[in-house]
Amino acid sequence: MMTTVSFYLLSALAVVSALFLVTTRNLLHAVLALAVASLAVAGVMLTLNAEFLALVLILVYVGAVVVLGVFAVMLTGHFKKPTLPSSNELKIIAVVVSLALVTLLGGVILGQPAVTGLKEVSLDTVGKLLLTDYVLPFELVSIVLLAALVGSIVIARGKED
Amino acid sequence: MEHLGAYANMVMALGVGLFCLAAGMVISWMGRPSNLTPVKLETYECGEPTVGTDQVRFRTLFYLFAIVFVVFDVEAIFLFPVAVVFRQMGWFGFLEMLAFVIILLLGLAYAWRKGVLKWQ
Repeated sequence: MMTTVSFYLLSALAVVSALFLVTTRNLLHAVLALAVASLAVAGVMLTLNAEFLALVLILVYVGAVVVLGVFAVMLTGHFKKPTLPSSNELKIIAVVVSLALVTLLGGVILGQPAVTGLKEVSLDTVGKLLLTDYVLPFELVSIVLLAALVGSIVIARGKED
Repeated sequence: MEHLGAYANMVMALGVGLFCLAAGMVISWMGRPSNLTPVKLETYECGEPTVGTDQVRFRTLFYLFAIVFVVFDVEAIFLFPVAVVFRQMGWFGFLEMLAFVIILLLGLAYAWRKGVLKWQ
């Protein structure tokens, strides 16, 4: 009962903050709304027994992606103009594309049988699987992260040296 | 669902904390006289006169730090579940984790060598 109520409350919070994100004219407010939306989605994950996913959302999205967004906004100086144009010149195409996407995703989601009795996956299980069945992907992840780190440094530093 | 009880405690603690904050502000608002002069409306910055606005542009150098931070944040995500079962997995788990961390240390060494971590 409590879980259902919090599920709907958090979902509503996620939708409202996402709407604020796309309608606000202040870029910095948009980034902060993204943080609220991510937190709300993490809460939704918690009510669905996906504890690890909630942790990932909070650590990576709220902790890192939002920080990156704040930096990007504050580096560009766009936030000094709080009135970004909030109209879209490609309204018709935007409506068509988003309707198509909603139809596609909605069709796939509604076509699935309803999942009941989701089992809780503890951090314990995830950790054991990472060290046994998925040890190769686990090590590959570190190589992917290494490539991402080196690549981003090369791109971000440019040709200065 | 029983483990969600821990989060209910967390939400309750958050609620009590917010209540204490709001109560303190409301009580002080009720008890104080309201006499706003321009000086009182100024931003308080440790007694120093403030300079400019709060919306300043950051140095581009911060962005590199942020990127490196994101990568190590994602690494931390993978280390969390492994750290939970670390003791049960014995030497095999230790070596796997060591390999994971050492590969990423190479990235840190690269960033260090390239002078990304240096504040110019």
